[in-house]
Amino acid sequence: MNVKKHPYSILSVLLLILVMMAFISLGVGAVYTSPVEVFTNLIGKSQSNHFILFNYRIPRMLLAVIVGASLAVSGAILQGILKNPLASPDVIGVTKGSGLFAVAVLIIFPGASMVALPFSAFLGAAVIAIALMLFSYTQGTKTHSLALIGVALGAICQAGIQYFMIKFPDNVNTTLLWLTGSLWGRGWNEMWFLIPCLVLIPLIIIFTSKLDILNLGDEMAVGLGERIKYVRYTLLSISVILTGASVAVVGSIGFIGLISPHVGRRLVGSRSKFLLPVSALIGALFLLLADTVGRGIVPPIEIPAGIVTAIIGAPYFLYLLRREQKNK
Amino acid sequence: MNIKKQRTSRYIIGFIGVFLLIAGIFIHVSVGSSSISITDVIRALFHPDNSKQTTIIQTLRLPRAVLAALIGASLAVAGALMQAITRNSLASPQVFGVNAGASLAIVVATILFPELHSKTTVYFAFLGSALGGITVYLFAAGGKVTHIKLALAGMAVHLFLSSFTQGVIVLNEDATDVLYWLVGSINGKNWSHVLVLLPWSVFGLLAAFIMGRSISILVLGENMATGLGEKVQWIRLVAGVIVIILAGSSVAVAGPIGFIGLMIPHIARKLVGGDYQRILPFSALLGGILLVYADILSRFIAYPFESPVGIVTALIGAPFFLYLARKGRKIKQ
Amino acid sequence: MTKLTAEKLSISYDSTSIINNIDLHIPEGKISIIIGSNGCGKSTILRSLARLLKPTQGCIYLNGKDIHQHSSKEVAKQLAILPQSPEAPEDLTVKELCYYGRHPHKGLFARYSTEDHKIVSDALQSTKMEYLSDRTLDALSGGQRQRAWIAMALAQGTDLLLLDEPTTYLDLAHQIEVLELLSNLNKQQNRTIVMVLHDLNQAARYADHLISISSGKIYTEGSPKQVFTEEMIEEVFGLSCKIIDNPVDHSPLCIPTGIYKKNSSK
Repeated sequence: MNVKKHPYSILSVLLLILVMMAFISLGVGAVYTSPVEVFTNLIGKSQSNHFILFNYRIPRMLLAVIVGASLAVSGAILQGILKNPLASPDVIGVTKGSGLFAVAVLIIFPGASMVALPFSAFLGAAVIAIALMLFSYTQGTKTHSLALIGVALGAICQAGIQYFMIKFPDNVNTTLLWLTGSLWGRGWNEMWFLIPCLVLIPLIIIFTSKLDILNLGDEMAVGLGERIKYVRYTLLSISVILTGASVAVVGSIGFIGLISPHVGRRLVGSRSKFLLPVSALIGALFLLLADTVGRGIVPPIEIPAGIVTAIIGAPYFLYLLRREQKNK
Repeated sequence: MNIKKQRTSRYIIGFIGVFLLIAGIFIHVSVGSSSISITDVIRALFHPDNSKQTTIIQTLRLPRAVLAALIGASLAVAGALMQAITRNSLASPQVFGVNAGASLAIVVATILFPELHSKTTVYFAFLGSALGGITVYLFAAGGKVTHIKLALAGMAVHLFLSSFTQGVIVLNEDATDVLYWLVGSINGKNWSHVLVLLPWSVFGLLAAFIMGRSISILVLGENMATGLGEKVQWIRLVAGVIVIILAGSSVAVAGPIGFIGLMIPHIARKLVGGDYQRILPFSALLGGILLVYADILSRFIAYPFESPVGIVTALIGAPFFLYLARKGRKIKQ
Repeated sequence: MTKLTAEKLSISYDSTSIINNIDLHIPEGKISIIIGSNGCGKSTILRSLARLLKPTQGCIYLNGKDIHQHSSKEVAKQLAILPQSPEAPEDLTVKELCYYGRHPHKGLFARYSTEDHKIVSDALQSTKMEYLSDRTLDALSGGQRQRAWIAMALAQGTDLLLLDEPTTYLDLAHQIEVLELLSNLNKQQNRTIVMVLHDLNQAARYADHLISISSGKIYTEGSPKQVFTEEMIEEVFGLSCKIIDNPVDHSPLCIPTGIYKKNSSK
């Protein structure tokens, strides 16, 4: 069966798997809750694990889904506008910018309220995005330069992060933990930061068709009436906001934005109308799975989701790479 | 610019480069917690005596300067090769699993054998790099190794291994000392390190320069290259091996110094054009210069403490690259 | 009918002048073909007519108004451009590509209307691509792929169609296929066509209006019979030739006889 011919079925199947996974994840953790108990709690017929479910597991599950989807969509957009399969929010410096600002706050203002951290992460992402646009302006957002400028900016931020870690070795563990990316301790409070992601959804839907037009080449896109600079900047901003919000909440989880679009492309081809939603579902599933596994494999120790995503995801992706060649 | 002007300007750039490198090495040697004048440096080099200064120069500073030049050159050339075989300007030796493999090996070694001498860890790291590179190649294989698969496989392996490394560090308190190594530093290295590195670097660099023309042809595209008689798979494989040799040995000795492999090839390309027969030697030159000067600066940024050189390379190199990027030709569209 | 003119157009790139003060009026409802030797600026002229390039001096007027004063979308509804090597994702089908042509007419949220469906289906019919409409682009031959792109340009629903070397990478049969298609579109649907062509004889055969460019200036323009002279070909292309009457349709036919060296005696 040529999978690419049935995008709607794929979307439905993925959605179904996501819902099932969400359900399972609600049961996993230091206190195991059976699916039956979860269900009865959800519909209000039981109060047995009410506290854990509603205060910890449900918000965490929702966060994982939204962040996973946001990172995946951000990666898909970036790979589209930069026309580079290695592009991801991580590679073009946005995640690193967030990291730098967050680490700076963590170290310089250790007593700062819990709210300061996500804000600074978001600010970092925004600063990088602005720098990106400023520096690439003369080149007319030529995709090649945009990516490289992002990498250069990211390198500066990375240097900054490393500097902080070396200079203040006492805070290294907290810093590293945050940088690695984890959903530990995230709850309803963090949900506020993801509001931008949800608000952007209609804008993303509108711009998916423009992303496809961009893929026809700059001259053709202009010929079809698009203002390519404006479209690119808007898409870049969308990607940055999605990434900034995600990193603000969970720290820098690098893998999802890179890999989800590739898997999505294998399933439904490169038309943004299908690629973006499918990538979103894959990203959500991926992060949810990683978080669940990280929580459930050796309870009560939690392995940060950022690590699990790479450890599960990379071998799977490499397997996909090998398989694709055999199919051809 | 017409051809003659271009060629002359390239020679000029080359001369300036060589001059900067040599000047850099001299400055590097003379500068430090006890400064030694340039004349003394020259005297120590050419008429060595038993004075304290000569000893400092010969046992501490000179090897470090030489190391900086060698590693800078090796990483830059490795990066240029990497970008050629993956046809992706975002590639760097990182994307061949070299850094991550070495890092993981070092972290594991530090945990399992905490008593290990630093010289032996070098071999561990080299092994790690080699394994990283081989893994990438294996996964990109299974049919033809296309440049996209190579890039993606490399990135995946890199992320996998570095996450593993991060995981180990986070979960194991003893490993936090390793963090300093993970940033990359030439501090505290001596002639023994140079001797370990030298054969690999020299071999790798020479091999790379010899391959210059084949690499240029490879970049024209697979079909074109095959049409010109080159065996594309072979070239990729050999280039990959050279990357492992150059980057692996450098990372093994000094830790993963970032940025050089990624950005120097681009700077070289902007200065001398797209022919790899020129890009490779110029990258070597520029890489050496960058690292030598970065190492000099790293001694001053947080005086009297030394900052890891990996931080300084990014802080110098990235702005320079951004400046070059802005200077690009303005096409009115 | 959409009017397209260039006035005192000059284009420079860095400090090199490519187009030097030309005035051009595109005749409506006709096929205009721009010819010239490599590097003379013919593609540059076409691309500036299509507003892809901004003039260094002078102005391009679309329906009497400066083309750069129009919004890009407005222009896209009057003028369709097919650039030299268009890219597209491999897995795009012909029909999907065609629908992109309706893009300038769609607002942000607009779905495709029955009118859109009809226009796309007409475009596919005109280019004889209906039976291939579900194939992906990478599964088509060169000529078919070019026809798919032309179908998309047709779906844009414009009076004006600008094509930059639409036949360069095609074999002869496919070249003629594309040129015949364009000729029919012009005659049956009254579309104004402007293209840059490499092949002189094809240009002479299919053009209503021929424009020859030399060193960034218009050497001469007019009907093929007026423009296609041995002298023009010598001066513009550096080629000695003999011009005869094409026995099939009596358009001028150029037969090269050697390289023309400007300062040597013949």
